[in-house]
Amino acid sequence: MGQSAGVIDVNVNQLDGQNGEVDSVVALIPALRAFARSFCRNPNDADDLVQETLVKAIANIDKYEEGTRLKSWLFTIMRNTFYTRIRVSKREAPGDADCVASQPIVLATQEWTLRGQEVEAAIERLSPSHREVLVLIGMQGVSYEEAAEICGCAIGTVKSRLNRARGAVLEMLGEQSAGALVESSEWLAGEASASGRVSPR
Amino acid sequence: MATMTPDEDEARMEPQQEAGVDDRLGTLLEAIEGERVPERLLKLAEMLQNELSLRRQRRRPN
Repeated sequence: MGQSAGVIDVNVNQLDGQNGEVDSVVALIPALRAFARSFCRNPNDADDLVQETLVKAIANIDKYEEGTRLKSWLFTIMRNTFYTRIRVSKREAPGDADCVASQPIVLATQEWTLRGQEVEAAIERLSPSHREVLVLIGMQGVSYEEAAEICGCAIGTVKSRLNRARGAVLEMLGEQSAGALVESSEWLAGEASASGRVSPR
Repeated sequence: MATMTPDEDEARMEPQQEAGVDDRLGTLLEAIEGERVPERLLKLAEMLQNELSLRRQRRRPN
């Protein structure tokens, strides 16, 4: 992946030799920016969060355990950084935190708007705990186990939140009801042909 | 086996619906992947990469 002037070339085939994962930090930047945007309404604030995450990762490099997925480690640092910042912010100026946690309905970034305004708006209306799970698993392909570790909760909780988040997004997009209608009409048609009558579910 | 929470017995949505949501989320990630990465983040990422490499070298001198 090559980019414009001043930008580093990324060897995406660089492997860590332990679990075969790509360990190029540069290649992880889009994933980090995406996760940061599940916390921060403003893309510049999100990038600040990515920056703080990387600075902390460098400062705490000795705590990184070989074999741990780098992406998950960085996600965990980011999440902890964000919630620490929120706690501090609430102590210093209650209600003044510029984050999606405190202001669930937000404006879209231009880029996200162009590629999925409705989905973005739906995601941003989710509660923070549902949104982070949806972004981690649904968007980034993180496993249930890793998501549970990153979010500091049980795997069952992750699954439940994910299911609810997906359902809420579909509902906000008006697709849940449409899907249910199709499913319902198919079921009714099947019932009618099988028994010669239509009965309630 | 994963522990189930009390609220996990809710109806799961169809796999097609799950995939539909995730596909849409994927387009958002693709959009971010297409954005230019700020220089400050690239520099820090490179620094972290170097630190990881150094650490690996220290741990595996041969």
